[in-house]
Amino acid sequence: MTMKIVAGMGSLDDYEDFCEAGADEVFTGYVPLNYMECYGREKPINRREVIYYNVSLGSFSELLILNDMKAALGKEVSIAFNAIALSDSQREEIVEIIRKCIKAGYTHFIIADLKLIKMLEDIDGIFIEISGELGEPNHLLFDELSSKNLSRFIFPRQSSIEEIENIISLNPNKKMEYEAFLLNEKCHFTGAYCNSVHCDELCHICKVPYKVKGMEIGRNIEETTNIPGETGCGLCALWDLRKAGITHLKLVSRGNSGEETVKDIKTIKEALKILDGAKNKNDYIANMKKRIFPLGCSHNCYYTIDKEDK
Amino acid sequence: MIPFSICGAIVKLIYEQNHIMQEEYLEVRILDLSTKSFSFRLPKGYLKGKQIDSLEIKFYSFEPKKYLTLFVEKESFTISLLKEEKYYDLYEAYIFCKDFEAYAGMLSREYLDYIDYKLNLSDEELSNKMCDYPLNEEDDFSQGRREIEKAFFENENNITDAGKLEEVFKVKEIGILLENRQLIADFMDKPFDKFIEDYFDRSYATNHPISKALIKRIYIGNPYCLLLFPKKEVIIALIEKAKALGLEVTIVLAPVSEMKVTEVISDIDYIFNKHSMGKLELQVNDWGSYYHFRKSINVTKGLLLHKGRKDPRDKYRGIKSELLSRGEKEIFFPFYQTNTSTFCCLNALVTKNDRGKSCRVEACEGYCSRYEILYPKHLNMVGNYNSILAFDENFVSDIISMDSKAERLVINL
Repeated sequence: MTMKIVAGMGSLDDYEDFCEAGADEVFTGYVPLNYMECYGREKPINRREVIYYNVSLGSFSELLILNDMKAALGKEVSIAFNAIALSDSQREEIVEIIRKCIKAGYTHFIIADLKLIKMLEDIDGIFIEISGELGEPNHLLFDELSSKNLSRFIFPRQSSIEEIENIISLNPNKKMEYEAFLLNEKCHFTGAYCNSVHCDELCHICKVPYKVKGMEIGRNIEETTNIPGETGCGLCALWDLRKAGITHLKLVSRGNSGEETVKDIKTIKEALKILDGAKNKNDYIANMKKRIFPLGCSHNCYYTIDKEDK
Repeated sequence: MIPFSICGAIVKLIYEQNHIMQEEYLEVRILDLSTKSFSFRLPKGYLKGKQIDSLEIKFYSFEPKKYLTLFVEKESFTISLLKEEKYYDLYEAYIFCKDFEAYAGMLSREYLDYIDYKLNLSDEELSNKMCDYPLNEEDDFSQGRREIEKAFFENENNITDAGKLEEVFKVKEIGILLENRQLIADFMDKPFDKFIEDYFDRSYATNHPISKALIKRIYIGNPYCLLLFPKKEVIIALIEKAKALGLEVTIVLAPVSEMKVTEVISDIDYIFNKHSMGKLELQVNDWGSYYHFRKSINVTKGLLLHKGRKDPRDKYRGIKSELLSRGEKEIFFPFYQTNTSTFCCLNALVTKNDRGKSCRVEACEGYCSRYEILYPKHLNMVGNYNSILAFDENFVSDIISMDSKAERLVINL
């Protein structure tokens, strides 16, 4: 089965282009105005916490319009409510927001908070995707998670292929889908354990200058080269990810320009085409690198892979 | 297009349904904004049979970081259909209101300033423009954890302020976190009084009230990195010594990765079957371990399962957040965790010269016992193990304000 491309979207104006480029699904955020007013930027509802970028849909009318587009173009839209530090009052508020989203025609939600997942248990007809921001995954987690609404597990960025394969094989829920990060924004730290701020006026904490005592290493100087996946890439791992049981591939792109995301979707699409025609892993990697990275790749790898087929 | 979060509107729609007038309030996104008008869009045909009765427009003002709200009644605006697009109808609202002019002008200026800063300034310069972030201090690095501790504990102002700490110590159970191999070795090898004396002395805290803490519990294990979890035989020996000293014990597990599950379960089962302690507690930092072990053992949730905004740079934004890390029963102090990487970034730095090229480490060389990652001095933070830890200079008042949330305090020097 071909793995599906899930693209992050910051504005509904990009939805049609993403669908045409080959995205199978799209995910976005929704932050009502009154929520912003009440909780501000300090208690975000999802993991895109800036305000001077288009990273989430900002109004209910946008949700309604996007739903019409969804009905016309047929590509599912998931809405992220995957903030990791929620108070009880925020959880109650989010449940009501989700109910509004359901009325607007949405059924797929990305959630990182287990208490919030429990509060949604009694709502029929929804599909909860467990966000990678939940924390270090292991198969012991699935022995407990039994809500009928759980449809997908999103592995966090820092997951090895071996771990992914093992967890999937040991999950008693054989209907679950699995999503893995594929392109862009390979963070230095684990999202679930990132308590630092992501706001407009401060850079991410992982970009604060640093050095190692006694070693001549400083802040990474990021040079833009415009090659696919320069901030994080898992394209070489597609063979292994498919073998491990991954069904969906995450393209991190909320806040990126629509044009860049379209390019990324097409890149992934091409890689998947090469994958479908490949005889073995080495064949896939060689052909993919030749076509997509003729001048070399970023070496900013999401996954460490064995070059040899097992 | 204006980013959604800085400007939006709620339109009040009125319409007749079954001969009764109805009201509906609908959020709309403001697409383009001038000092006289704004454009917005609605689903196709949405306004059929409805009228926009009033507008509530919200403008985000960066100073004082809140939304300014403008109510505009129907006499003060006109709505016209600009275009019927494929999936929505585009409208323009023309506003006859001086306040709208002022607010729209303010918002546009602030947004354009932001774009200008983003395009033309460094991160540090942008932060300096937008908040009180200091300029030209990012190359002044601290020399690591000990320097941070020394600067704080040898400052007499910090000693006199901390008199209240002794009062708190009287009513809470105080623990010490044995989070690395050196601390564990010291605890095992030294008489307890000497261990405590050296512990505070090493951190320059001998003259600070923190050193007056009467330690009643030891926490064994590193909450961030499983590779620092001691061998089970060592833990049993630690438990035996603690028991002889009349100390309680909490075993601390970092998040357990999938390939370590079998080994960890075996070790924990061994420890909890073999120990002779009356009450032994396990603190975990991933949900799978929590659900598994709670079936048979006294388990609490650790600091990585209690999340919250913690960033030493928040002070420059005028934000006071609850910095100290919390577990289910305790507050850890004076260091708090801001970030943790399950793929060791220190290992990546040392072996590959690139913090971003981290991967799962199987054979740990223990670089964290030799190296620290240093950050600008004014941030009071350090890269230890696989984490960024920051020192809360206001830990005394923070402990007092968090008092009700914990029955224990755990020192993590």
